[in-house]
Amino acid sequence: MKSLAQPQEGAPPALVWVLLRQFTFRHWRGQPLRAFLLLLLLSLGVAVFLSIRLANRAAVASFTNFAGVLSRQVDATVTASAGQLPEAVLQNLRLACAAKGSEPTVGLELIPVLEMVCAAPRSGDDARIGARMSFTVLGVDLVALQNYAAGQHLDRRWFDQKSGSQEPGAEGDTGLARLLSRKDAVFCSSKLAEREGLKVGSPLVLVVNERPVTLEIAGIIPGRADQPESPSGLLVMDLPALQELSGKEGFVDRIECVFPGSARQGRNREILVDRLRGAIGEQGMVRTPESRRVAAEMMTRGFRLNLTILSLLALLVGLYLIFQALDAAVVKRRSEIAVLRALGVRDSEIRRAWLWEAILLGIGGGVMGVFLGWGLAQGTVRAVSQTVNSLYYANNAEAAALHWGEAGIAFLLAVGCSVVAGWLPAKRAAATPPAQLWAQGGGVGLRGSGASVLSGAGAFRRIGVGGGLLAAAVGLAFCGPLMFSGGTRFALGGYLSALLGVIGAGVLAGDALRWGARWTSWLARGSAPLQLANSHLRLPTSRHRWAAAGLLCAVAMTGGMSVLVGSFERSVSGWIGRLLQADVYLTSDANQAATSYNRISAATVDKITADPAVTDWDALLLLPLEFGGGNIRMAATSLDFYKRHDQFSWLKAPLSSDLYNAKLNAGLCAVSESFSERFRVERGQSIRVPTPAGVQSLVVAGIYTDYGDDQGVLMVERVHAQEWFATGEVTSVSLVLRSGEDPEEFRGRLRRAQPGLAVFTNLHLRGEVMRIFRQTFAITYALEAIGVVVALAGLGITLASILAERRVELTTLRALGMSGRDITHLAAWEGALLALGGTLGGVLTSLGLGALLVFVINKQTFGWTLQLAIPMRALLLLGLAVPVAGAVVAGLVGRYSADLPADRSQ
Amino acid sequence: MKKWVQIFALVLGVVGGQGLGQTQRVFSAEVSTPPPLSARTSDGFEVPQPGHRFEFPRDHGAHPSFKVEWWYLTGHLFGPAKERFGFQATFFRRAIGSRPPDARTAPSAFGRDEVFLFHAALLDVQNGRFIHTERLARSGWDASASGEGLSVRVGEARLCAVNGEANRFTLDAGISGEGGFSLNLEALKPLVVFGKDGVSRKGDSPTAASWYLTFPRLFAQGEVRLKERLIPVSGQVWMDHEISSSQLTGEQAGWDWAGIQFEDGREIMVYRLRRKDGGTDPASALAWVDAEGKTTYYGASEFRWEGSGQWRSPRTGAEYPLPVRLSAPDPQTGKLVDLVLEPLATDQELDGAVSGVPYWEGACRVLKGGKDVGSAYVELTGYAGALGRALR
Repeated sequence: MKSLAQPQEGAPPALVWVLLRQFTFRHWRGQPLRAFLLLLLLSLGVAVFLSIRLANRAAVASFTNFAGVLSRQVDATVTASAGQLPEAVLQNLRLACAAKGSEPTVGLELIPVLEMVCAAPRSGDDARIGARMSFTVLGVDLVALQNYAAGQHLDRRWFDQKSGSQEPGAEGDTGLARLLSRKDAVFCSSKLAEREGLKVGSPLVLVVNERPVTLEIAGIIPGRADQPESPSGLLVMDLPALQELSGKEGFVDRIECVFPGSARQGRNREILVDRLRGAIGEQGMVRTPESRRVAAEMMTRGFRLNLTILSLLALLVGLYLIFQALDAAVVKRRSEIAVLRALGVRDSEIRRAWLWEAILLGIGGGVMGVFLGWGLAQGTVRAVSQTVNSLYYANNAEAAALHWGEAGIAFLLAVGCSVVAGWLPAKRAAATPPAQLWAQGGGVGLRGSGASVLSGAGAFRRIGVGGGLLAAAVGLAFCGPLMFSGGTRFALGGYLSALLGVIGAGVLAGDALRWGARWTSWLARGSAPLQLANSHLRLPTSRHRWAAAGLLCAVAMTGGMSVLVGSFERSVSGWIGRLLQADVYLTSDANQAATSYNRISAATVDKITADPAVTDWDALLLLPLEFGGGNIRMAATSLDFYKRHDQFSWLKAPLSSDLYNAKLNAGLCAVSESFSERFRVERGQSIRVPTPAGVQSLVVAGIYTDYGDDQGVLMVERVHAQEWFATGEVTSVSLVLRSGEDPEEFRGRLRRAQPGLAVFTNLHLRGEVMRIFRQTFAITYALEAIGVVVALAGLGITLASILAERRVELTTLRALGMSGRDITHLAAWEGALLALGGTLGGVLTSLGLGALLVFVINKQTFGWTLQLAIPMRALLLLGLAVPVAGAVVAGLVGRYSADLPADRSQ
Repeated sequence: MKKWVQIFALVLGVVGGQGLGQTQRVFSAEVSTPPPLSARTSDGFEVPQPGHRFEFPRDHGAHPSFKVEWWYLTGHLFGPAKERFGFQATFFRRAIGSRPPDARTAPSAFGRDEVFLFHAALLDVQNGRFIHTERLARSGWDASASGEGLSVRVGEARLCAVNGEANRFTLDAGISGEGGFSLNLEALKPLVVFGKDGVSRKGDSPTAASWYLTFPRLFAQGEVRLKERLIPVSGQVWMDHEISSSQLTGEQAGWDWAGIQFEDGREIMVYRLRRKDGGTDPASALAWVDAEGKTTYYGASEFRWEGSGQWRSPRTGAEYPLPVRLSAPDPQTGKLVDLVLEPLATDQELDGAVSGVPYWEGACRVLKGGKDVGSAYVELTGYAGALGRALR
């Protein structure tokens, strides 16, 4: 017989294969259900991670360029430094970029774009914010578009689309002249047309600014077969028609530039970009093609990162499971390892075989996870999209495409995690001398597992390791955030602190089990099965420890998030209570998303505020701005009104009352805490703010709390902002009613008079804010639940594994007269104690983790100071539900294992 | 260059979804005697009237009260190292509103009353390389034509009078990032106003007429740009400016046109209208312009235009009858003269990327008895299928 001990040169891979086939796969075949469950749980971890990444990607992808919709080819975008670009800049850009000398810059396409976010009209009296579909209406020059489309070989069927009943050239077709003469012609996506049954000539009602308008479908946005379909919420109009509709005559929002082929890169590209920059001067900025997408990504980075990290919870628990499974396999197969070692199989081969087993688990889990994740993403995308819509920008992401890059990352993560988890068991399998194994009897002892012998439990017993990790976690919590361009921050120290804290607590969890078993031994008096279970936990095996650590991890993160959400809720409630003092609030009914800047005209404001029922009022003008390389918002209001109604929640109050006096506050502003954190701006500091009327130098008079915006808000007196931005319009109005006036009755009256406005009473608006707040965290809860479920399933697998290893012991116990019921009790008690240990550790850890999330990670990511709130009820529920669930799972496993014969391990 | 009326209407028809069946006749014999002209079209646009006293440089500019107008330049240019180029640059203006634009309305950056179309082509004869472009723009920030004098622009292309003068112009045109030309133009011969009493009748309709102004020969000096190479050039250019409000009919299947500049200082402007039944429309005509700018007209039956070969376009599949044989009486001798218009490169087809109407428009040498006697630009339309069918 050819000795396994003397492999030929180049033979090791073949030997590893033999080991896998004869050794590993045999065990898998023997326990198919367990192998499948392990793969399923790992794949669930991968799936959750991937689904969140895909949903995030879909939400960001919907924030794109117009030309990008058509061909994904934009070389530069010109935008205003503040407000909008006057049309006159177009000709300046054209002249500046005309060919000079030998520079082949001719052929530059300048595509002016006007963008507006509006909404479908409400049906009935449904006043929920964000409940209706938002539409992004792009205004483009449909005539000039022909040149661009011809140059890019795109579909140019903009002008001759017919309704089904019309013959080509028939009366009523949408010719160029006819189209340009109309102010209500709109093109929609094929998705929307299909969903809503729209055809050429169908009416489409939208709320724009303060009124509902009826547009007419002129056709479907032409697309190319090899390009993705236009998003369903995208509408296209001829630019001057949208200018008129939106009241933005004479302005465009941005100019998308497509360079000629000879200037798409290299020196000619630089020449063109320099000329564009020279021509626009201080009026605007020339950005790279990806900048809009990057801006969207920056805006939502904190939100997405938090979701991604949360989504890793399930994978982290999965990692524990793989470690456990492989560690258990080492124990279980130790006699076989001893035989192999005795036959001369080298350490490296055994280690490699173990690592390959881990890799194969990773591959299997990764592949399953990718498909599962893609399916899961279709559900999560709506939740992510809704949150992004409420907090950041309008988007209607409905489906998440499978992105192979993301799938690759998820797959590699699965394999990587498996390798990491398999590394230690592989090392142990290779390092244990055969003599020692045989000296242990080679078989299964009474305690069954023998895991403590091979588990390297010493490492876990070293409290110093756990303590050291916890100490490192505490130290990292004091590190500042990493700062990026545009004021974006990343709480690296905070996240590392959380990771080390959870691992450190997990390491300590094993010893806590032992203590816990000792302290609860009095409960088991009088019951042999319970005493037996207690005795097992007094000397816990490595798998006991890992199961407890996995549960601790899941419970700690769930509890930590509960602390964060609870703190957030308390802080937001207090803030809203202070901010919302008026009786009635109104805004455009089209403002369904954070980037909807539909306005109310000065005439309408005058008319409404002249109502005798109104005793005091304020108006807010919200303006998106570029500041310090990032996007912020200017909130222009009556600062005196805020003071009179005590609406400011100051973190650093103004040192003088000049801020509240419109005659004295032209050079003053107040900034939100997020603004202060993001741009490192302190009270008394002077900042330069771009406006269409030139750069304004403003002194920061105070810093206030604002939980409504994590990008930063700059608050100024409305009359000054209206002058800088040459507008009399406002975004919202708050009304204080005469004493005795019924807000509901007033609201009803206003709704009838102004059908294009959304009118809220104080009570309703507070309710809406809290509803949106809770909706924002809906996906967080779902992710936490999945993490806990995976951990509980892991607990079940662990107990099944432990009981299977103790099958000789169980058979002996049955022979000694212990009933199946007793075995079930034994397992349930052991599982309950294990779960209790993990849960208690998790709850305790969650308090620290919650504080870390509230005071470090949240503050560094979003710039909000929150009041710490411990959600006792939620933690108590968690502390009870998880051990009970653990006991139930363990009882089920015990019941199943009780009747297993000694020669079966499945 | 009346053919452009039809091209432009066709462009709008294609882009606007109108069938060519609504177009009307372009040409009429200059010798015919149609009924008196109306003052305005039914939609209120002015109709060119006889006896109009042109005022230059103002009348080189735009006439917004008329529906259609174009400025058309072709020429032959020569470089210092025996480079030779042919070029075409055409600016069209067309009102698309239901009535003439209101002069009192402030101009908009995105006008809804007029659109402009620009065509440019450049032939590098030495290398046989032909590049071309088309551009459509609405009146406003990216296209306009002044009513005060010659100043018309579409995108990066522009044609302007120098210091407001009546016979000196500058032309700048680019063809994507591939090339372009910048030329200073100066009239070598006086302006020719085609037609009886200054009006070129298009047919029997009381609105079918145009003012048709031509500089048959301008001296050109400037530079041609090929990629990053700049070549100083000089040469001779033909320039038309036509103003009309007439509509077109769809009786013609296409047309052939040529502008010939002889070395002896004379020119020929000739067009043959091809009817759908294969015959030549009686409105076809040929005009000689002598050295002083005096015109002599010949009707359809007095000259002959025929192809002496064929070139098939690899892009559109159209078969163009090239070279062209032209026989016409010479008013100097009274004898028939036989000319061959031989393309300097066969592939000078514009593919109609924006307009959807491909046609052949190219630089030719003019041979008489095998000898070079001048240069010409020839246009052949309606060979890529019926003109009434849009290319989509």
